[in-house]
Order: sequence, then structure tokens, then C-alpha cells
Amino acid sequence: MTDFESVQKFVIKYFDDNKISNKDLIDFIHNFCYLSHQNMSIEGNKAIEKFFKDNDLEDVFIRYMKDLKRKINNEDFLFYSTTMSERGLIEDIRISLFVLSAKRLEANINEKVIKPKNTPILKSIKKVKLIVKSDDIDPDIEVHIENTINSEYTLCGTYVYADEFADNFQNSKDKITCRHCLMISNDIKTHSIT
Amino acid sequence: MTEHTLKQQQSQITNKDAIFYKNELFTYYKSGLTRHVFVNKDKTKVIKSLISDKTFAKDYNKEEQQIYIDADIETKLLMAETTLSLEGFIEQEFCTPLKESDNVLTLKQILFASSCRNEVGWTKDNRLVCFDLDEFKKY
Repeated sequence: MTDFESVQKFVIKYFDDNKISNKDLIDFIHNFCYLSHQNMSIEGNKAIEKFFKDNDLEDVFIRYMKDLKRKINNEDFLFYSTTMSERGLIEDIRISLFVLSAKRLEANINEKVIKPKNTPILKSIKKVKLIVKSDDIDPDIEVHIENTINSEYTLCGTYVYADEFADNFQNSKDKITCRHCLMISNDIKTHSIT
Repeated sequence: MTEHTLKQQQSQITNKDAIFYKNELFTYYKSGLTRHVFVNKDKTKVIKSLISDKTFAKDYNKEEQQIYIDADIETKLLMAETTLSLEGFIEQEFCTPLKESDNVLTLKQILFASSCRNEVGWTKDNRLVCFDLDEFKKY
């Protein structure tokens, strides 16, 4: 494994293990990679400090920033205060952060594509009154009772309405073909029959 | 024996040879630009022999030994234990090179490795050390 590959692997693992959110990562990148002094966030700076402290590289980063500042200000200096490998490491971390952000972006896109629509779940059925078979109802027809079904759920098939006393009911002779509704109907039948 | 004779003797050793040294058989392991490396059977020790016999050529074995002697105790912990034999060989503890190990490195270790041009490896007691001492923290 080359140096850069190991750095990349390490950085990705560090940010995932420490559960650093996308927002904090953006702050980190803004402050560390773009060096945009105008929009520097305190959180970003704290995260940078923590990152280098955790990895025992505080002094390397300080010396790197010192060199960078001298370079930006066009100061004359004979020697860098960092070694070649130290500068290389910081650059590798910087590129690894872009790799990490691209990876997170990709994960976000994939999540949006795969994520199913929120469908309400039938949580509990407290009160069930099944309709007694009568001559009016075709025995083959599966029936649902409206007031037994959780309010969060709406059946997409035909249902039979019954009131609390189950004396009055209207039925439908249409057969429920929707598998979803059939499942609920079966659930009612198996769990509570009065 | 003169220095030159020692060099001449070593330069006759090729990568197809095996060396019987201190009652142990060392077989060929790897070569660098200046030296061949031979390892013993249980992979605990290596010996390094010079490739060139030219009188003006630098004695890299001697130089490596000098670097180890000059280092302080703390720095020595980052170096593979090195001694120079009377025959002019470098005798060194065996380190598993990074490419041959699955150990995950920390950033500090990555930095150390790159500062030694990746001439580092793991010792038996799990220390990351530099085995090519003339590259030690040179970069």
C-alpha cells in the first residue's frame, strides 16, 4: 500500500469512527483545505485541533501553517520548518478529505434512490368486530370493518362499514384484490375474533 | 584482513548463494542498490553483504553501523538493532516490511515510514523500526 492509500484509509476510518456529521466535515474542509479565513467556523477549527491532537501531530500542523504563512506573505526564508514527508502528509490528508466528501456525497445519493416511501404501519387493532356471515354477503368476499382499522391506515380496497353494535352494516360485493389490504384483513381475523 | 579484501570477499557473494554464518544458514532474501540481504531460517536475523568491491566505493555497512552507534537511546528504539561483524557483514534483527504485513498504520507511523523512504518494518515485539539506517528520517 502506498503512503497516500494508507493516509486515505486512515482519514476515512477516523471520520467514520468519530461519527463526524456532514456539516462538521464541511466546516473542517472549509477551514483546513480551502483556508478561507473569511468564513472560518469555530467548530471547524476545534475539529482540526482535535484531529491533530488525536493523532499526535499538533506540532507538525503548527510548523506547516507557519511555513505556509511565510510562503503566502512572500517572506524570505532559507529553510522550511517542516520536512518533506511532513508536508507530504498534510497534503495527503487534504486530498483524502476531498475523497471522503465525495464518498459521503455518493452515499447520500444512493440513500435517496434506495430509500422507500414512508408507508404507515398498522400498529395495533384494539377493537374488532367481524361481520357475521349473512345471506346478503357473498361468502367468498373478504370483508373489512372500518372502525377496527388503525386511523393511520387507509385501505385501498373495498370495505364493509359496521358500527359499534354491528347491527347495521353495509357491505360491498366487490372482492378485495389488493394484497396489502388482504393482509390486514387476515391479521384482523387471526388476532381478535369476537 | 584489509578493508579492500573484505569488500572483495563480499562482492563475490551473489543472490544465488547461501551463507553459513555463526553456525546458521542464511538464504537470499532481497537486494538493494548497494547490498544483498540474507535471512536465517527462523526469520529473526538478517545479514547484509556489499555488492561492489571497488576501493573507492563507500562502505555502506560501516556507515550503517556508525549511524546506529551515534544514535541516542530513544532514537535507537526506532532503528533495527545493528552490529558490524568482523567479516564486514551487517548483522541486523529481522523486520517484516510494510508491504508484507497487514498492520494498519496510524498517521504518525505513516509519517515515520515516509520520512525513511518506507524502509521500515515490524519487529517481533511489534515496533515499527527503520532497517536501512542511512535513510533514517532523511526525508
